[in-house]
Amino acid sequence: MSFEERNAVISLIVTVGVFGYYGFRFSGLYGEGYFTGPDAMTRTGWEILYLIGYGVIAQIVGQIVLSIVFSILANDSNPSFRIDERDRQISLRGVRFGYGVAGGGITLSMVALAYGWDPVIVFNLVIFSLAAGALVETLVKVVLYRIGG
Amino acid sequence: MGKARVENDIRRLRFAHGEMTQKQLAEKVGVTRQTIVAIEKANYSPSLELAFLIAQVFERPLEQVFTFKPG
Repeated sequence: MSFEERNAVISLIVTVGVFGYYGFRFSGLYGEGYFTGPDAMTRTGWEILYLIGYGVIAQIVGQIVLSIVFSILANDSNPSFRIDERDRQISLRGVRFGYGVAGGGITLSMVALAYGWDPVIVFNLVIFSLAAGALVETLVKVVLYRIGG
Repeated sequence: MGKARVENDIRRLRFAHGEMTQKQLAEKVGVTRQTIVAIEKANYSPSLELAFLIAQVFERPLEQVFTFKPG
């Protein structure tokens, strides 16, 4: 497994974990009525800021911990950190799919807003569209590495 | 019309050059071993620059290392 392929797999695991946790937390708070009233958008903003904060920390910690785990599993004491033309090509193909999904999700979010959905929900739909884009981007990269693209 | 493929003779040439490993070839041309694996299996078509570098390692002209199979 190359350095970039391993990064893609780790990123996939961390992204699913972070957004899974956020989705669980948000749905719980929304059910309790935390996002109602005049402070709804302010609270949403803070929740998103927390998400960015622990998302960054989780990515850093996840990369370190999972890199160590992968190296132990692969019995590779001297892993390569090389990135080459194929890695860059696969990355670009992943980004293209990711942008497509994120763009589609944001467009659908605007449609939902236009049809009178709760702005708190729409705001989170935008965030989840970006997350889905990142997820698809990484997934496409992992698949392309596996099929030898 | 099927998919065109860039096929190659790298595997045979590696063995003809002192049983060079994929890792050794990768290091000589500055790519990952996985990229050499993908090229050998014709799953990935290298850039012209990389193809020339590989041919240079085996001291062969490009067309003796890579062949184009139209689809």
